[in-house]
Amino acid sequence: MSFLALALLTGWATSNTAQLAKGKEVYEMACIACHGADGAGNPAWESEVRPVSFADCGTTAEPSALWKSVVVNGGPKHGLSEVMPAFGEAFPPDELTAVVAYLRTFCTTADRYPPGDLNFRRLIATGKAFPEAEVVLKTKIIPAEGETELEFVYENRLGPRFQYELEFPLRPRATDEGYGAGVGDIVVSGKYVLGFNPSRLQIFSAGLEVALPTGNEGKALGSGTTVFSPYFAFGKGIRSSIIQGKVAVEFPADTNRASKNYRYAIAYSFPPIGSSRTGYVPAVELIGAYNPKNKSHSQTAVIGVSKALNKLGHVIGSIGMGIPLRPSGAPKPKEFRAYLLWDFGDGPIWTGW
Amino acid sequence: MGAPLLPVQAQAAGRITGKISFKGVAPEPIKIRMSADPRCMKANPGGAERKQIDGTNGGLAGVIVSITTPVKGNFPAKTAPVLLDQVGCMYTPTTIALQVGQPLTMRNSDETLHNIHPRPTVNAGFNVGQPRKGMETVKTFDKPETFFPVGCDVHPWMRAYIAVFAHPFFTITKDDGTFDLPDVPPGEYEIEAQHPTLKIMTGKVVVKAGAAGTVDLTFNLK
Repeated sequence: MSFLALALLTGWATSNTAQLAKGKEVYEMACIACHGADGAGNPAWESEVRPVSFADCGTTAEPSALWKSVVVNGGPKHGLSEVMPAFGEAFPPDELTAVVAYLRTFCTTADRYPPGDLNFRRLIATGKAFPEAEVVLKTKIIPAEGETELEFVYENRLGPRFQYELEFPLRPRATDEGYGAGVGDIVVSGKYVLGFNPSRLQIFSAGLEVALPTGNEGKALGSGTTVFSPYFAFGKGIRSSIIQGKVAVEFPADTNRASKNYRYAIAYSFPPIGSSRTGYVPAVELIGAYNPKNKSHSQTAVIGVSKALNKLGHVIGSIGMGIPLRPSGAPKPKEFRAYLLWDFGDGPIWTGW
Repeated sequence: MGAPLLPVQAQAAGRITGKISFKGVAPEPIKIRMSADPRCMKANPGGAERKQIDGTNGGLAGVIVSITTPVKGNFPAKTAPVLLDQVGCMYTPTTIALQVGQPLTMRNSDETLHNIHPRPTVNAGFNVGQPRKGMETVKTFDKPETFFPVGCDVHPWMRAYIAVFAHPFFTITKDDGTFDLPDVPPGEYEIEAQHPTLKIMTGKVVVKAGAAGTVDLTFNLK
């Protein structure tokens, strides 16, 4: 299926009119008293609790399974308000599914947004195709070289499909090999969702990263030139497993300082062990870079596991180990990698515990 | 104080009867504004109010009277469910007493959404939505705990109180404040009278086989 055809696949939120009619019926019976006719909260409801506004299109980023679980089990199971009751005994499963579908339509442009069901778990090294609103702190440690790298990532959404991103790499201390501490090349990037298909659980994005020469070249903190990296990313769900990938080409502005590179990453996430929202998600990744000028090819396998750290699942931690595979004959020191992320689109970091 | 040495089943039981009264002026009932839910208003065309002190002829209704002296024996949970109904956007009754493991049936008799939300501190809480008229939810509590509130977050004026006992020796006073606690093994007992908004009162009573021991208590309202 072409990207254009995917992009034109609309109506995931509004196409099933029979289901939405049933969902509206359930909503008016069970939800409207607190959440209001417009989904933004009933002003007449006498409560200090202000429910989330379903009209906020940022809520499209949450998977339907989470919405349904909140309706079925109540708020506390997911660290949300205790006044949100459990309706699992009140309605059959199809009506619960219908009311979740109806909730989606309070965002009147929901069809233009990729649904949260395509918001696959972030991996340690492979990029995401889904546009996010997150803060991520990453680290990579190579004990054999005394190397520690930190990276602070800020991602935010603009509109239904666009995401901008800032990356601040940092080497907090000099390496055993004498490379100095400091800030690396800051990366500014943008990403756009080219297409998505909720029923096939797939999403495709393209973006452009621009690495600015902010890092000291002499300390091996940067390339010394601006590097433009257009990329393509995808995510594909296969039942409860996920395949994600990203390919990019690095074009340095000054080819005397840096050379063109091809980068790739492909990853497979296993089904969660335990709860789908808060269970452990093991994953294997293969990341690599190929330099056509000197024909060098580096490749690393990363084995990791991630887990939501709170009930809401918007604070996630991941740890893993990188095992260099290429180039052959070169030293292959093991890497330890980790990240800690906060999906601020879901709410303040202190909620949902 | 002598607790019976034999299990209840092996003895001829007596009963405890009496009256719980109050002295003083009962506070005015609280007027309830139901304008947030037209269905509740329709169910209460003349307006609604919640009495903080309820009873007739000086008697105090809705007081839980229970034995606090340990009684020897095993007391399986009562199997008969206790009903907490929601009628006209009010709880009926507003005081619930049940035994550990005894079913509590919560029913919505209104044509509007209610949620049953007890807030115990010892037992596990829950919060169940009841959007349909006639819907019933049955739960049990597995630990003794006295007087925790149950409310409806949709209609914040709705309030009832639940007490859970490890034994079956408890009852609730009627509208006139009288009570009758049957099947009590002979012995000398200390009893407690608990009202959701008043301090606990205690009394002593002697129960003889086949006879009723009587205890009357009076709450002083300030």
